[in-house]
Amino acid sequence: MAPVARLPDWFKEAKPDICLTGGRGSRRGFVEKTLANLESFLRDTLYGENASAKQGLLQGITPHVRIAGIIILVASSAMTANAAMLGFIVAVAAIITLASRVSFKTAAKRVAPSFVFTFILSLPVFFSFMTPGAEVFGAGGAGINGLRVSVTREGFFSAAFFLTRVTTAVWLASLVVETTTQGDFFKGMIRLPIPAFFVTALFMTFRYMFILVKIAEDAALARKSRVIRVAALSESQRWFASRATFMLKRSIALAQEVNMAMASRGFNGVVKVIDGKGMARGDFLWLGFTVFVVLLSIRF
Amino acid sequence: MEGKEIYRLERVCYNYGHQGVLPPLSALKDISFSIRHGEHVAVLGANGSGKSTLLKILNGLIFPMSGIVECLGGKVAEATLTGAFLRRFRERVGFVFSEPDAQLFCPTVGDEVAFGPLQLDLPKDEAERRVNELLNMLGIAALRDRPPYTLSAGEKKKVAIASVLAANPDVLLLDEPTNGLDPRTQVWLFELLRGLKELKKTFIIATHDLSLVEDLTDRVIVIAEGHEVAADGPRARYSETRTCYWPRI
Amino acid sequence: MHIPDGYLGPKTCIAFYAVMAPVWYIASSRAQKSLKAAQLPILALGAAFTFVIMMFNIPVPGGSSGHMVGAVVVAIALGPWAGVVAMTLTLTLQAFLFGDGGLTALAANSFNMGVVMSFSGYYVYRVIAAGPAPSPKRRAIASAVAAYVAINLAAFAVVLELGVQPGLEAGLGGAPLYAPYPLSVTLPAMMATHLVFFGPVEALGTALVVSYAHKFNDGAILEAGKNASWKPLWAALIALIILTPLGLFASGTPWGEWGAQELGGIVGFIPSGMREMRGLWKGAMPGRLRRAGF
Repeated sequence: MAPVARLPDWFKEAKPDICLTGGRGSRRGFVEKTLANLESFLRDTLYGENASAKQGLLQGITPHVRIAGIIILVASSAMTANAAMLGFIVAVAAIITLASRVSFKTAAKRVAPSFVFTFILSLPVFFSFMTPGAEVFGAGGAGINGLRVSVTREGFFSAAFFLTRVTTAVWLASLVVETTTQGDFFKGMIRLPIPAFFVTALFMTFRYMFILVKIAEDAALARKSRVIRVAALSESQRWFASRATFMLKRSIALAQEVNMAMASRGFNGVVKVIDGKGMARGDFLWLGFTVFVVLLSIRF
Repeated sequence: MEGKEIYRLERVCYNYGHQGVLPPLSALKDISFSIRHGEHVAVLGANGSGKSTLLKILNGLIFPMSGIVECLGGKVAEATLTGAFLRRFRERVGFVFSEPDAQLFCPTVGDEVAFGPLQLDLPKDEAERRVNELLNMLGIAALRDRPPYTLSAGEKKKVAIASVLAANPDVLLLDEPTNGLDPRTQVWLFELLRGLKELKKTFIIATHDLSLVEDLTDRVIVIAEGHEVAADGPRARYSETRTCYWPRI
Repeated sequence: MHIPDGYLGPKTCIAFYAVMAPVWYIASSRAQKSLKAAQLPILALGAAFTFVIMMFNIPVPGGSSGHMVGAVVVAIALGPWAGVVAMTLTLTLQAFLFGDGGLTALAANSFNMGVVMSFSGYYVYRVIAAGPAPSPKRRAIASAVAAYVAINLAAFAVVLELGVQPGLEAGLGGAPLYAPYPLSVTLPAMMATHLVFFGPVEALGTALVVSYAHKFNDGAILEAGKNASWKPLWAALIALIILTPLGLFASGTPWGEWGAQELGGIVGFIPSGMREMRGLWKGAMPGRLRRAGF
């Protein structure tokens, strides 16, 4: 198995939290804070507890087939109108997670934000004022502005169904990143029926993302080391704009250099890659299974 | 083959900012020289004297405002660098950028090395073979599936060089090749270049590294701060009169 | 602004993929043509730029903060078609790698933040900053107005897409299967927050970036898309009219259930959490929640 991609050490160093050391003027460090957060967020999302080096179900499937299958499963979770079918897809997600040796804790971490967001969003759906029906909880005189506030059976099922659907889709989608190295991800994408132009641009976007964060972080630290007093709001805004522009210019220069490097090696707009191995029996089984699930979800 | 003219430059001028509002910034002025097959040329000059610009012109990546660049018997210009000539040119001339971060743009080291051969329409198994051989030769076979930007500076340089050598060019353009390398990797690079020299490859190195000049090149072109050629001659002569050139670099 | 998986029903998702397929095709070939000097890296760069810009939280008076989308900056700098491609790249990465925005909703998201924002922002800017040498002040105003209009139009597209779901896709007994609120709820909730809060953030951020870019370089880098003809404007306008989610009603689907309207007064402010919460996650408490993987 290929070694897991690791960021260089400088990227792993935790930057001091400006808010804690500053004490006052919480607004001062918004750029620094954002960058420090962004850096740890990127690192955690892309390099934390990744199961791509382990032996498992998804890891054993050719990357592009793996990605395609997951997309099909996400589509079926987004398509079904049947609670039993959705339950079946949840079970499928759980089995894949187990068989691919992705920890449920990692999966939960990935899913948590979407879950919380959608839960809050769908709260009103639980209640009788949004979904009229048989009251199962909080019935009686309780209410706001004379409206009765109670959870209805219909409301509960409606909201729970929506919440489960959204959560399952995020869960399934997260399995791609959890079981795939970066190299495999982009190689897999290039073998999907997506224009190679787009996948190459996608990969370069991914790379520039890190470069931009690095440039911005350096700039922010350089400024931090010079600025002692609390900056005014307008100065913060100017700082933001000048940094954003600086990043744009630095990276345009870099982009032109990259472009030359590609042209220098014969690139003329069409990316060519070595085809990976053909599909194995496991790949066909996986694809067949996911297609089966999506057909079921169309039927139900 | 030996001694055949590869490059001929005649009164080449290049300015930056020629389309913008700012006054154009001269980068190269009146550059003329020719380079023969098997020559090993060092291009010396201060920061900003136009060395990198010159190499980019030699690689057909940018085109001079005026003057003529000829390579392999053809004119290198925006209009002529197409089709079969472009392919031949890209096959024969390789460019190692000073900034490996710019040069390495593929998802994995293996893809990076395969990029050139594949773009030049080599059969896929031949590309595969070249990748394997090069990675083994440079001792970086273990890095094959790693994303290039996670490598060390020395490893990046090795991958960058491997990715250029994969097309098997006759002419190598190297921009500041020893920049940012530790002594061990520098020694490795010297040995590699010495090997290439024995294979009668032509190379043109833009550098500040005087040990590189003395060990590996036999001709020195000095570009002065006025962006024109200040001196051009055999390395031996340059060494003797080093004190004479030195203040001009 | 990012619609997750499961919020839009299959009809809407498929409709948007059908709409976006030709748009993506045209956009990438147009972008390749207009950016011939350094097409691919520049495009990728624009995408990475919006990606990073979405992570910046700009402080606004009153002590709160919000993030911008940045699509208008890219559209002004590289042209609207390149803007569409760049936003699609960003959204694809976000959907796959960070679970931000759904895979099935990718086309809808690309439509909202790519097509709607890029084109409206670009042309509003071009109209206001028309002329050979617009003053810096006019340029700043032009980009601010462009961004304000663009993000609100994009938000309006989201409003329509989410708002029609209860009517388009209902289960047994009319229970919602996807985004549960009708237009009467999504409209005030989304538009209020965008007109008052995210609109100004986008406007301010865009104006600052565009002004600074002009101040500190000769202008040659930015506005690569300046020579774009006006033809695409009409094409885009017509496309917008046809392709806007409103067009979905043409398929004979009944208008959404308006029954909950009388309850709008009390419910209305709750779903405003939809956009507000997103802002909160990216803004006020990014540390903890972001680390949680959002």
